[in-house]
Amino acid sequence: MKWPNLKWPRPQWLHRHQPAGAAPSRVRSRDQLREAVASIACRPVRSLLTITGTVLGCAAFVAILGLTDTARGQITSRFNELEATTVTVVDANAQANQADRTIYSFPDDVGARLRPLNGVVDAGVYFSLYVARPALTPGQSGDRATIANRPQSDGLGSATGASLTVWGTEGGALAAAGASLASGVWFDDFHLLTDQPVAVLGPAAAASLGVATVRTNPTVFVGDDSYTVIGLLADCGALPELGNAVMLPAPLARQRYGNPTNPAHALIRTDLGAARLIARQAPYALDQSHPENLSAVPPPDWSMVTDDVNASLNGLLLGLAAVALIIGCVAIANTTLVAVMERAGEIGLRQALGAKPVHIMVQFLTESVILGLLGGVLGSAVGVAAVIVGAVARQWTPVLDPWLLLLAPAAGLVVGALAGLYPAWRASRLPPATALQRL
Amino acid sequence: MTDPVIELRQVARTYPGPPPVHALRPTDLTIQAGDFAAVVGPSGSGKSTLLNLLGLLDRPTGGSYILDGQPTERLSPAQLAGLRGRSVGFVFQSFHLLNHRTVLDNVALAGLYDHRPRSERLARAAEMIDLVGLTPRLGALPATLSGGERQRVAIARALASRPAVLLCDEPTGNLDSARSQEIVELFESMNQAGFTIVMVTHDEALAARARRRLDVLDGQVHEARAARP
Repeated sequence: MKWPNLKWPRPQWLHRHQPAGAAPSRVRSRDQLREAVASIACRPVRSLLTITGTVLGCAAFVAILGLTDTARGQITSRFNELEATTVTVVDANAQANQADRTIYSFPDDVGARLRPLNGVVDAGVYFSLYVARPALTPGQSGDRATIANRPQSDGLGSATGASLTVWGTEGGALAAAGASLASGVWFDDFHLLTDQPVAVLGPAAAASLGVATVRTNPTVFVGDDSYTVIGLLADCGALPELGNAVMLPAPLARQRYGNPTNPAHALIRTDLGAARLIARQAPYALDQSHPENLSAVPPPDWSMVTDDVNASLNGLLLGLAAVALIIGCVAIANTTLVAVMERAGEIGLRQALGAKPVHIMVQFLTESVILGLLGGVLGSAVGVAAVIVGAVARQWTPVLDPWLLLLAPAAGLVVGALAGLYPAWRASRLPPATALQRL
Repeated sequence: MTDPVIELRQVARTYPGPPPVHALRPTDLTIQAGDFAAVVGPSGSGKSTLLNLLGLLDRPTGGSYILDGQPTERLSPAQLAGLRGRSVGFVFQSFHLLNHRTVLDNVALAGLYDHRPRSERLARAAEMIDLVGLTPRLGALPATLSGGERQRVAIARALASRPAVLLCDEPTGNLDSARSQEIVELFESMNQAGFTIVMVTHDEALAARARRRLDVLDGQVHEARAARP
């Protein structure tokens, strides 16, 4: 190779050379940032591998919160439908005076009074009863009467169903609860208003009493009172406590066995959107003179219930995401520390060119922060994609808090900053002469 | 009479040990502007210690050092870094180029820590690259250059900050004889143009081309040959 013309012009600045003075070295922020970006960009594969942990952590963070929000939206919409169509009325007077069993505030025709209200689909009262055995001898009156499929008087009275309970209900309550019949019918107004001795059995009660169908006109005995079974429940709907119940027409039940052991409830199923109005009207429809004795209980807030569940689940999953982020942090710290050792020669060169220790520290810290931020942004994108894919796969509507899209990169940035602190400090402490000896 | 660029007065460097090592014993030395001095000595004699002290990469444990008219003993690390960046240009045996940056970007690193705008640094870099005859390789990566070309890039980078003195540590140590010859000629022509050069070398042939020769032995610096015309 032939050298170029080396007859150097005497540089003019050499004539004008002024003493350099003792001003400390300074670097422009933009240049410092450009140096950091260039250092990252010139090692793309290593940079990508370095941020993998942060990407996974941030992606998990966004995906968990996004999918939880999406699921919560879905669950809430389902429960809202149930919530919006269910009204429960409770005997407030009896509730306030539980020791006094003479108090019963519902009329005998709850369903008949509520059904005419515009928006009511089904309605009826239900309550549990304590049926005491007749006092044959003094001291026996407190015992619970036997419920059996055979009369007590024949001497073969079966103890079958000793754990069964007796409930007074209206057919409307069962319909409002979404119960379904396996066989027969449930009480209608005729049964209720004419005190027919009929019964409907819950699924467990029917199994316990050996009643499989109503076609054979089975009879059950509560103490010595017989009742013809006219219906068998397949499913108790929203009233699972009726599973082992022998249900009697409410007016007849009170007439024979007295007032309920616990305050009676009325269950009302309404049209969508009518529940709030019905809740206000129901106490007046049931007892115009003393509506205060009855209180329409707001339906349970299912969204709060699901929020609690989701909060617990979120805590667990976010813990896992935090672990992933910590792993990402350690990965960046480790890689940056190795890079400091590998780039000792570069550090020495920069110091030879006038870099102060703080310039070196800022350079490595900036690289680490950029890597963390990059990991956060990529993780955020991956997380959003996961939420969309997950929601679409279940035909749900994806729900994502917009703040999450800022929070994840911010988390990545913090991870990068924390991870870079120690390696950057180590880099800034390298003596220039020592650093220059390493290639 | 030219101005001294470097003035050492009883400058010493002792490493505490134990046992303490007197890497450089109290030394008086003056390098005038336009000097071309070769520092020669066996390994471990104290050449690199002297060069590190001259380049403000290390601080003496005794004496006073005036660089480019600026006494250095009371300067803070930040001020030392600033003075180093502005007054000293380094040329290393192993070039110390950033392998992922182009020739232009490598040379433009000079002045980065002197708060100079990028446009000015790039313009200066292009000018220096032209001076060392590498304009056609402006956008090349160091990995694609020969050893001689890499050293010329390093020289261009050292010159780009317009330093008062060029400190060279075995500048031909990684080059074959032909490339070494080219670099020596480059230094000579630079010196003739007015650059001040202090060069540490093992190479007697290279040392013979310098105008002054300083021998270092056991931490003692001797003026073996005074400046010649």
